[in-house]
Amino acid sequence: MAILQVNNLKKIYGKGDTIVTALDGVSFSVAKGEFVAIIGASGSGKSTLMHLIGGVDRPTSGNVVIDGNEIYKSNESELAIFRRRNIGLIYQFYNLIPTLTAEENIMLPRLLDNRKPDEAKLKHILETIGLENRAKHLPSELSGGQQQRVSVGRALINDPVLILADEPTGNLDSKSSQEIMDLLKLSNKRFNQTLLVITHDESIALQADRIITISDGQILRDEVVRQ
Amino acid sequence: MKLTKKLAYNQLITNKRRTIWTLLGIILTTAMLTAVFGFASSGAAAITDLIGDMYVRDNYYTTIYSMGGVLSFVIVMVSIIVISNAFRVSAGERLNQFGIIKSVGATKKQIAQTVCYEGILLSAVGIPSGIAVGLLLQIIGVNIANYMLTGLNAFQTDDAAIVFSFVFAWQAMLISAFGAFTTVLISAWLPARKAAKIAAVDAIRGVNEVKMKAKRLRTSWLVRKLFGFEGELALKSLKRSRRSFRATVVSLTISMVLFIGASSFGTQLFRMANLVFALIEADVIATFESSQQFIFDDDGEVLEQRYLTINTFEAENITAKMREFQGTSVFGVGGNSVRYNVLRETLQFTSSFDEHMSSNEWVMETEQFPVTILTVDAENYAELARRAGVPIGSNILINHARTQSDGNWAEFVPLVFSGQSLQMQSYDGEIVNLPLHGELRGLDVPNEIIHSSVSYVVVIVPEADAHFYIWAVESDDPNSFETYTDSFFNDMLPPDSDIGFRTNIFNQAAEDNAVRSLFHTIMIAVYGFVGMLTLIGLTNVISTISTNVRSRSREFVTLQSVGMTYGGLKNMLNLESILCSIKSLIYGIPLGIAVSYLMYLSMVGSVWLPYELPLVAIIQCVVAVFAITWLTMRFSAYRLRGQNIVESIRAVDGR
Repeated sequence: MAILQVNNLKKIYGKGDTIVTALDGVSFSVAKGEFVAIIGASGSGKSTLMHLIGGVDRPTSGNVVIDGNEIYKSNESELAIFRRRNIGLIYQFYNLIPTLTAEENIMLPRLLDNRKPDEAKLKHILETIGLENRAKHLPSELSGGQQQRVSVGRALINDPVLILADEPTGNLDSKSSQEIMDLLKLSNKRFNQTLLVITHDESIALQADRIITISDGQILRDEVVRQ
Repeated sequence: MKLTKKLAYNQLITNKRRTIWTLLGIILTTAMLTAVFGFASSGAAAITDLIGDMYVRDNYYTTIYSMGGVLSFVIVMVSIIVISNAFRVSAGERLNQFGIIKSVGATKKQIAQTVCYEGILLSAVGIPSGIAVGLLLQIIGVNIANYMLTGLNAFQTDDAAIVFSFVFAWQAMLISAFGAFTTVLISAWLPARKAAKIAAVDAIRGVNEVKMKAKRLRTSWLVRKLFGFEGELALKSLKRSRRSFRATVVSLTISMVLFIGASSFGTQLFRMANLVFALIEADVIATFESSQQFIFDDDGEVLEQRYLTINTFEAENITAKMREFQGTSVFGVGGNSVRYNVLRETLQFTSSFDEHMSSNEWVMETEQFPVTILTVDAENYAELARRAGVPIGSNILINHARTQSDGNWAEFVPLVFSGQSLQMQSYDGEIVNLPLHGELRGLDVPNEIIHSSVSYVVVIVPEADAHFYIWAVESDDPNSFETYTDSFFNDMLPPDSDIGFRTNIFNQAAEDNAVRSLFHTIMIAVYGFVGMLTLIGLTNVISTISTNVRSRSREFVTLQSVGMTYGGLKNMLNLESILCSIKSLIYGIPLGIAVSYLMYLSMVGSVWLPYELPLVAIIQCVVAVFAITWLTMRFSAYRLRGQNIVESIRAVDGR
């Protein structure tokens, strides 16, 4: 069953002479539990694709269906609420809230929903990302790798339908990079978590089940690496 | 251009919004200093003009200029807080840049230089503009003052008129330019020194200048309960940017304290004025008052008191002549200065009189009660007799007393009236029997009588040879009436003898207007000063809040991308402005009340009035503070709305 369906997605920036076609009719679907890597050179349109799937941007045409919901039919507020409950986003630059502690940052999507913090779940996630002892620290008191682990924790807290990671290791040394990838793979294997990782790093991409290569806004290759 | 200069220049160009607000702060500071010293010079010139060069003592000037000095001190203090905050934020924003140029070999001195150059560049534009604005303010202020004082001056002779003229005081400009430049340099130097000290590594890594500790950002569970998670985030942000917001809170607080102080100063001024004016409500008051002559016997005892008298006939003639003037109503009341007493035991007081005495803890010490005997012009006497229900020719007891207690007027009926006679005794022991035919109470008693009576026992008699006589006149045209009366008044009074008398025609309407316009002038100056100072503070409030919101755009985007709605974001910013306002109100209102109380103590020392809480001013402050912070946050947030989440993530990632 397809958890994510991307249908003929187009995104055009600018007007007249300065027109840039970032995405030019991209279609693919992802099944539950799949680990997909999207690779491409810079400017190929992979980040645009990521933002469109994450619902932080809207396409010129085409649609995205996540878990049966056609996401662009919602207004801004509905989309925001959909995001906090169904999608986990991981950025290259962590994007943590500097005034919140590590555990508060992890709980952020739940706090925004005014839901009771699930202590057991939080404890489990802290153990998984290996930050039990740093839960009360602010992001500025953590290393880059630790901060990225917090943002992975934040992505996992709500058992999202889909985790989107945009160059999650782009800002990390190789050891921290592998730790993050292991963490993502673990969630994929253990919780059957659907995972979409954007990267330009071959070694990262090769850890995925399936690699989609994007070039000039179109899908160049879509190959299954392992079953 | 030297690199340090260029970096400073670039910083000003890049962050235009803050540059403009900081510039505005400098312009206002210079303008206020120029205006304050300009006004001081105008004031000094006006005094010299008024009393002549010869009589001006140095300490007049000292007083005026030291007042200017005190005001300047307040201005400079507020300005340093405001402008240094702007530079601190500017330096903080550029930590990364400082780190980079430090790592390629810039010295501490060079870093400090770039920040100071910023100050110099801003001063180069701000100070001349400020002086121009200040001179303009001085011209406007002088004109307003002269316009307001027209009434007062019309009342004075030409010699005594107060006229302000515009004085182009180069010393004032020099002082304000110097003052403003020093302010800017100090403001720029403080953060520059700090920025220069930071290690290159920390600066590059963008380590926040204030190292945050999670403990310091801890918030109470109550906040989440009351304001939700957005409220908690809002409070944490305020705690993080405590230093920036401290300046905001301080400048809002100062403005509030000054505003509350100024408004209660105004209230006291007008309350005191009203208390004085309230004594006799008339436009023009003409008085005749005989002098006293004492004849002593050999033992030094008073044998006889001699007075010049005005009899009913003479007084009535003057009253009639006054009434010939169009649109005029006259109330004439005369009285006896010879003291008559009545034995206390022969009087029967009401229970409300006793109550009044005991509630004020007053104890009757004398056994004798003074009696006031008054006579009223024929027309008004007839009316009073009608009200009392007695025929013309009766003696009417004014059974009404009004005293001040706790700053309020208390009115009550002092005596039990039963058609009795008063057994009066004069100073020489002579016993006079005064039968009372009727009484007047409460609203039946005209104000002119209440104001003329000084004792509890007042009797109006149909005719008397009065030792003093007062004509209280209401007129449509008080000024012409004054001239008219002046032309005949003295001629119609009884001829003078060796006893002597005093007369006076007092144009209360004109004096009243004049004093009020003088007070209004003072209040305009006071509010003008407070308003300008508030503007300086406002430049800081706006630049702090908008810079703060702008520098957190990344945070906002993150919150939105993990699912905060735009409504939630707005909510968070609203709560930030509310918390910030509450904080400044917590400081501002008690301090403002304290200042207004001190003002009350120093001003109302001689006139007895109860303290009044400046409630209106406080409410105005609360409304204004919420409006200012809310509008600023809202405006900044509004600019975020157009921001595409994706663009923002890019912009932030790209740095």
